[in-house]
This record gives sequence, structure tokens and C-alpha cells, in this order.
Amino acid sequence: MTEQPGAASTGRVLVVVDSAAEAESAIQAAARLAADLSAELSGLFVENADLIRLADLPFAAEIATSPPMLRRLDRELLQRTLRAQAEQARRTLAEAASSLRVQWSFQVARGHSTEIALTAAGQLDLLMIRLAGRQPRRPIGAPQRALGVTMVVLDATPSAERTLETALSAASGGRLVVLFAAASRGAATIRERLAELLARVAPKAILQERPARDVNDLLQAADQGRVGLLVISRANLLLTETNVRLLAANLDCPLLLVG
Amino acid sequence: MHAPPDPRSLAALEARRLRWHCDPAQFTFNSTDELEDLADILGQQRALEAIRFSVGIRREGYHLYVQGPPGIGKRTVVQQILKQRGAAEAKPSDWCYVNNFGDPQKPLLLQLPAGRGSRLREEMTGLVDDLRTAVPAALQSEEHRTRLQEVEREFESQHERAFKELEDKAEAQGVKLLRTPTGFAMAPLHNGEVVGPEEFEKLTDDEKRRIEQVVAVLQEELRQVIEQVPKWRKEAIDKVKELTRETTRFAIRHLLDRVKQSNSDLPDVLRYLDAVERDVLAHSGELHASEEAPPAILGMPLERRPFLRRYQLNLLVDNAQTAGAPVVYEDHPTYQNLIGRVEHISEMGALVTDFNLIKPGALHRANGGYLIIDMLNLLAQPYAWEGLKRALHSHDIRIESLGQALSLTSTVSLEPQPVPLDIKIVLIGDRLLYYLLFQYDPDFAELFKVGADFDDQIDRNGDNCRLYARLVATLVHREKLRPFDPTGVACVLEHAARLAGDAEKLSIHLRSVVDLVSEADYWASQQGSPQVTESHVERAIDEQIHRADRLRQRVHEEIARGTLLIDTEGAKVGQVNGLSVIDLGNFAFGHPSRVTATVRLGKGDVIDIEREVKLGGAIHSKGVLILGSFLASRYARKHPLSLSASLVFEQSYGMVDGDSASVGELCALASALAEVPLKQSLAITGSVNQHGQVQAIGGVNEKIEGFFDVCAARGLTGEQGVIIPASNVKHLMLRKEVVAAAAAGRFRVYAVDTIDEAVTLLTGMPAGERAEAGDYPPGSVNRLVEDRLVAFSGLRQKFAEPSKSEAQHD
Repeated sequence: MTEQPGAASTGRVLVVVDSAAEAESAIQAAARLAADLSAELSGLFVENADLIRLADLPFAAEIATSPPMLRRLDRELLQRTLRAQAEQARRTLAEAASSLRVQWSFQVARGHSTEIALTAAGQLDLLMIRLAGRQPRRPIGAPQRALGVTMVVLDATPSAERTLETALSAASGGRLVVLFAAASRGAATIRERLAELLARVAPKAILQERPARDVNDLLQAADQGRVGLLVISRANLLLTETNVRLLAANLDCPLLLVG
Repeated sequence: MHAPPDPRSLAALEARRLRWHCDPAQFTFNSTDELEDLADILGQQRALEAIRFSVGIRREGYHLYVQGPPGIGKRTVVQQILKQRGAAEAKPSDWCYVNNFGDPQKPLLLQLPAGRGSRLREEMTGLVDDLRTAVPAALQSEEHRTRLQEVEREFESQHERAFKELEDKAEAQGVKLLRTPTGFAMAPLHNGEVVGPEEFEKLTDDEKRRIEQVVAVLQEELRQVIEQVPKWRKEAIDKVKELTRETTRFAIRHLLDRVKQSNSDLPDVLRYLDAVERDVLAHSGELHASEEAPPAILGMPLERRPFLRRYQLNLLVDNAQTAGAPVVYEDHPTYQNLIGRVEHISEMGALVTDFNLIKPGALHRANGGYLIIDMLNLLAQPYAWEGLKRALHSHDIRIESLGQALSLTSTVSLEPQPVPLDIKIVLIGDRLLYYLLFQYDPDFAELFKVGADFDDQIDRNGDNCRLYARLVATLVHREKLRPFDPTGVACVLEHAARLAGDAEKLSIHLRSVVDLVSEADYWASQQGSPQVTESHVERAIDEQIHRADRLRQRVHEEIARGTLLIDTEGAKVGQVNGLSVIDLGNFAFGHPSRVTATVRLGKGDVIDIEREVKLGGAIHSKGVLILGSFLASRYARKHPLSLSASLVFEQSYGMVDGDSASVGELCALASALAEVPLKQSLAITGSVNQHGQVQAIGGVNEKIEGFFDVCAARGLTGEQGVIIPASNVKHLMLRKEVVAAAAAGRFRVYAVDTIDEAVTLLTGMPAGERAEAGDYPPGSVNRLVEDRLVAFSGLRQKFAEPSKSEAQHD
């Protein structure tokens, strides 16, 4: 673990990445967020324990994507690659934090990515997760989605306003889509209040009202909107433990969980 | 043999023979305003016929070379004839270059009816403007983007479905799909966890084999799925392209149809527009991108040529405003100005070009008509003559830079499609160039079969004098001058005769006449005269001379001051006043030169000192050699010519050429031999042949006036005069003051046919005719000359014989 001095922090933004090659945008976004909130930035690189276990098997092999070919999954080589990726993530985080004068730390852990992320985050932390997921949602070889559109998912819970504020900060002047997915009583009042707030602080934000019955609805909305960052409160009624795992594993962009 | 001259019969020429006087009374008009303009140029019938023949004949190689001295009016006449003829001919086509979408280095040529080029250019400019907005608008439309997203989602769904199916299949067989840093892996599960090595070892061999087989099959299926991805992507890209093409086609079709309908009668244009449509469809992406901000390096925007330039039309030749066939005069016929050129522009330090930068040459502009070029200018420009000949031989214009042709540059350039050439070339130049080219350039004879030879003088007769008056009237009208009265016209005619150097001819050197009438008009205006009269023309002539005669004044001044030694009185042995002319280009004047001769015993040589020091020209040397031959044939029939003589132009420090001094030199030689003095009050000019006949020379008027001026400055005595060849009398157009002096008996001009007449005039003694017995009469100059030569011969024989003592001794 490495630490650098910076501005006095009032909270923590934890960014969790794994061997997905697109960790940089998540780290940059987390750093900006930490700077905006005068929070500490913590980085966590998770080495997938399943992969290392697999590499110990005698017939372990991987199918490379470019070019598509079957090759032996060598434990030594795999560890070297993971270490290199962790170092790259650390360097990116350090540079971003230094340039924004944010206090930072970084650590590497081995295990199951989502579990470690949820375990590492405190209740009040902001948790930015960018994981490779089990299967590619984006076609192999397609370019990384730009971090241009931020989507924030709100419901009628009290956390909505704080989540929106965090999303506004994370969007950093970019395009913001507010997905209001609440059908409960009293939702109309909250919706009106949100609309009023948005008109005042983010007149260009788009307020969408649509039902979100499960995580798949959120994933679909994020895909359709070509979303670059999804912001959701950990208190959101949809986010059960299982759903957080599902969302983190299948989302094709960083996920920001507001504690 | 001529009869011997009698000194008393050799009278001076009457004053009336010294100058032709043009009588104004012969004209029936009071002012040139009453005269009609000349329809044709004066006195150039032969040249005009040649020009009309060349213009009329439409055969290969019948281009025209117009020859004649400068200032004769060749170009004016040629342009006038060509414009008249061209006006009745059909307008030639417009020519355009357009992009060759298949090979941009070889732009394509479009031939359009006259006037249609500019219309098509406007239409293409409008089309480009429309494309600039219509294509990006169509490609940014919500409908198009939605369709693109559908394609993209379809691709993503296909991808996701394949992986999901595989993942589900794997899960059903207890295998988990894992992401690795560079791909995927299939991990066997046990109780929901990836099997570790210890657990695997505990399995039975059959179980291990089964797991390995399952994993192997799944891996193979996964590999096949991954292999399919590029194919799916290619299909998706193709669909996007096709969608973009369809959207673009829909957006541009009506724009192109409008241009096509407007040019439906021009198949070539329609074919080109089809090519434009294909290219727009193939490059709709670039069209879209071209509207975005230009790329930059280090914050500096790249100055790229707009992509849409490729659809513009380069109208090379626009004959919309041309009336009939074009008549073009190219005054700066460089290779590029004739053939055309391909310009380049700098783009990030590199020179680049395209079909829009093809510039026409004079051949393009005159194609279908006539091109006039000054030959000397053409030859002065490197490779211009070669380029013109190549175009005429090949019947097309191939734009090729000199750098390219000579392999001097390696800059990428264009090879535009050649323009078919149908042209009549008119070259204007002097005669010498014409004869040299005809002699030494085989192409010239092949291509320029017609020569129009402009004369510089016409016969002086009544009809021509009246026509000349109309020429003056024409110039007065054209130049908007004051009208000339008959005396003014008569004075112009007299000056024309003087310019011709012949009282029986009139110069038709137009530039000189135009200058004279314009300057006479000026002097008339200075005097406030409504008409130009004789006095104004004379003033103009005098002022012309005054402006140019600084050198003459200096020469005459040095003679008057005794620096240049010229006697105009008395008599000297072996010394005569010769006459020479200095031509300054726009002014010529004569002055006397002292010619002296010395004789001595020798071997028959006449030494030309000018030649010995290489200051004598070939013609002068020839004249001196003729003297030796004359002396030998006349006086040394029975004995060897035992003479050695030297001849020299005294105080001459420049080149001497011409044989006009040979009569004078022979007289000086005879004087030296006979020891008879020659009158210094006379000057002499003329050439002589081996038989002693005196022949015509040039510049007779200037020579006489030159000696007259020297004598007049010292005071005319009545004894002074000039001896000229009789055959030059018809050329006399002397200044009025010389004629007046002659009329008053204060100056004389003698015309002689033979050397004996000249000797008689210069010595005042009879030359003497050889009697039947063979001798010249005693006391005659010829007798004295012959006696001296016989004496020389005797002396030489005596020197040649051995002395008696020597003979005895031998």
C-alpha cells in the first residue's frame, strides 16, 4: 500500500478495478469525484482468485481474442500480467490524484472482485467499481465507451438527493440522464422536487421516468443510453446484495455506488 | 570602253535633280478629313494574298510566317484580317477539366458547347454547396442514426447471444466462463467453486478425462464463437456502409438529377455526373467529416484543401463571351504561357496539386481560332518553340511541366488528358529569322508553309501618292489627330521618299509615318493651328533629327576645330575626301573621312592598312583588291606591275566596311602614282569594278549632306561639291538647304559613270584615252600613271639583273 499527502479529506472514494483493460476511465472519474468532494481516493486492484486456481490445473488453457487461438494458461505468466496491470492502475491513480491534489492510497487484493469491493467499502464511502465481468457485453474489439453520459438512477428513498448531488459532481458538466424509477406513493412529490432541483442546478439534464423492475432493466437502460457511468444509491430498493453483484459483473461501464 | 570625259562636259547636276518635290497642287482635297480611310494596307498586296491564302486553307502545315522589317505594321494588319475572318466563323467549344475519380493524377477533359462551360461550372458549384449541407444533414438525421444503432445493436445482440448460450451451456456442464487479461478461459466447477489442483488430483482418472474433454469441447466452441466476431463485425460494417450509401443516395439524387436534366443533351457530362454520384456514395463518410473542424498539429490547424474540391469544375477555356473564332496575341510566349501549366500549393511544407490548379496557355485560349506570336520572343524563351512544334505535330495540347519533362523535379504532378488542337498559328518576325529557320529547322518548313513578305517601300507614282494621302488620312482618323492640309501631306510624302532613300520610291514603314504625323500634330497644337501644314511636318522632322544628332554635331565640331583633319580647299597629292555613314538605328548621318595613298617600288601589292590591323571588313577588302586588279589590267599589260601601294582611312579607329570608298581610293592611288594633286574641295563616294565603272552605293543623301555641313560650317565657296555614282542620282532626296545652295551655285553634286570622269573632276586634268598605238596621250593623268608604273617596272628589272662585275666574277 502506498500513500501520498494531499488535501484534508472528508470521506473516501474507493475505486475497485480488476484485470479489465479499461480501468483508466474509472480511475480518472473517481479521482475527479474525490477532488470535488475533498475526499480521499483509494484504489483497489483485485486479482481474480478463480483465474489463479484455474492456472494451476494441468489442462488450463485460455482462448486469446486477438488472434483467436488456444494457448496454455501459464500461472507464472498470468501473475506477471496481473502484477503489471496492477502497477499500471496504481500509476494511473497516482498521476490523477497528484494532478488534482487528492490524498490517495492503493492496494492489491486477491479474491472475488465484487465481494472484495463490497467488503472493502464502508457504508458512507463512494464505491466506484469497474470489473471485467464474466462475459463481454460489448463485442470483442469494439472501442471503449466514452465517459460522456452519466446516468443516475433514483427512487423515492431519502438517499435520492445525495445521490443526485454525487452524480452531478461525477458528471462534471457532461451530459446527465436522470432515471427516476419509482412507482411508490409519494413518488410524484419527490419527482417534482427533483425536477425543480434539476432546473436550478442542471438545466440541461434529461429526466426520464421509466419503470425499473430489476437489474436487467437498469442494464438495458445503460446500454441503450450508451452510458459511460452509472450512479446509484446503495440504499436503492433494487440493490440487493445479489443485484449489486449482477450489476457490477454485467455493466459495461463503471458503477458508482453512493453509500 | 567609254568615251574619254571632257572636263568641260562634266557639269554639276541641276538642283531640281537633287530632290523630288511633291507638288501639293496635285491633290484635290483641302483637308484629309475629306478623304476616305484605306480599306487595306498600302502596297502589301503580295503579303495580303499570302495571309488570306494561309487563313483560308485548312490543311496541315499551312501555318503562317509574316516577315518584314519591324514597324511595318505586320501585326496590325494580321490582327485586322484575322478578326474579320474570325468574326464570321463559329465559336469554338468550351473546355473543362474535371476530376478523374478512378485516377486523380489524370484529370479528364470535357468538351462543351460555347457558353455551356460557365453554366455547368455554376451548377457544379451549386451542387457542391448543396452536398456540403445535404449529406451531413442526412447522415446526422435521427432516422439515419436510429437505423445505424439498430445495426449496431443487432451485432451486439448476436455477440451477446452467442456468449450467453455458450456460458449457459458451460454452466450446465459445471464449467464457468472466466475473463483472462487477454481472452477467456473455461474453468471446471465443484460445488460452485473453481476446482483447485488438489481437488482435481483427488478425482478419478475417468472423471479427470471427462472434465478435460468437456472443457476442451467448450474451449473449441468458444474459439469458434470468437472467430465469428470479425465476420459479424464485417457484416455490421457493410450494413452501416450500405445504410449510409442509401441515405446519401436519397439525399443527393434530386440534387444530381437537376444538373443532369440541365445537361441531358451532353452524354459526356451525364457520364461524368454518374461518376460524381458513385464517388459521393463511396465517400459519404469523408463528406461528413469534411464539415468538422480541420485536424491540427501542435494547435496549428492543417491547411487541408476542402474535400469537396474534387467535385468542382475547372473551366479551362470559356468562350461564352467570344465572338466568332478567337484571335489571341501572346506577347510573352514562355513555354508555360503557351502550353499551360499545373500549379502547386503548399500543404504542410509539401507541394501538392489537383485538377483545379491546371491553368490554360495561349494555345488553349486560341484553340479553334488563331494565335499570333512574335518569333523573336518565342525563340528567346527556352523550350517554347519546341513545345509549340510538338503541339502542332501531335494536334493536341499536353500540359507537362518543364521540370517534369527534363526530370528536374520529382514533385507529384498531373497528366491531364490532352486537349485536341485545331488552330492556325501566325508567327511574326524578320526575314533573316525566316530564312534561317527555313534553312536549318526542317520542322519549320513542314509546319509554316506560307510566308507573307511585307515590303517596306512602294513605287512613287500618281496613284500611290493619292493612296498615300489616304493613308495619312486613315492615320489621322485612327489616332484622332488634326487634319492635314495638302502641303502637310506633300511634306509627309517627301519624307517618305527620303526614308526610302530613293526619290522614286515611298517608304511604307508605318511606325515611322505614324510617329511623324503624330509629332506634326503635336507641333500644330503648340501653335494652335487647326490643321497640320508643311511647316509642322518639317518641324517634326527637324526635331526628330535634333533629338538624335548629338553624335553628328560632335563629329562636325571636331572637324571644324581641326581635330579631325579634313581639307575643303586646295589640292593634295595622294589624298582625297571619302564619305562614310554612321547609322545609329533611328538616325544616320554622313561625314567626310580623309583617304590617303602612298606608292613605292614593289611586287604589285596594294596594301589595305585597315585590313592589316583587322579594322576593315570583307567588303572593304574586296574593294581594295579590285583596285589592284584594275591597275594591273589597265596599266600593266606589257610589263609586270612593280608597285607597292598603301591605302588608309586616316583618323579612323573603328571598323570600316563597304566598298563605297573604292572610287576615292583609286583616285588617291592614281594621284600618288601620277603625282598630280586632287582637289580637296570635292568629296567622292562610289564603288568601282575591275573595268573602272563606278557603281551605286548606299546612304548617298547622308554622305552628300555630311560634306555639305562641313563645308557650310567653313563657308561655301562655290567650288565645293560631291562626286557620286550616276546610278545614285535617282536616290537623291537631299535636304532643302543643300538643294538651295546647289541652285545658287554655292555647292555642286557631280554624277560620274567611270573612274576617268572622277579623276578628271578631282584633278582638273583630262584622264586620257589610250590611242590605237597603245599609249595614253601625253599630259593626261593615265599617261602619267602608266609612265610611273613602267618606271617602277624598269627599276625592278634592274634590281633583278645581276651586276656586270658579279656576272664576270661568276
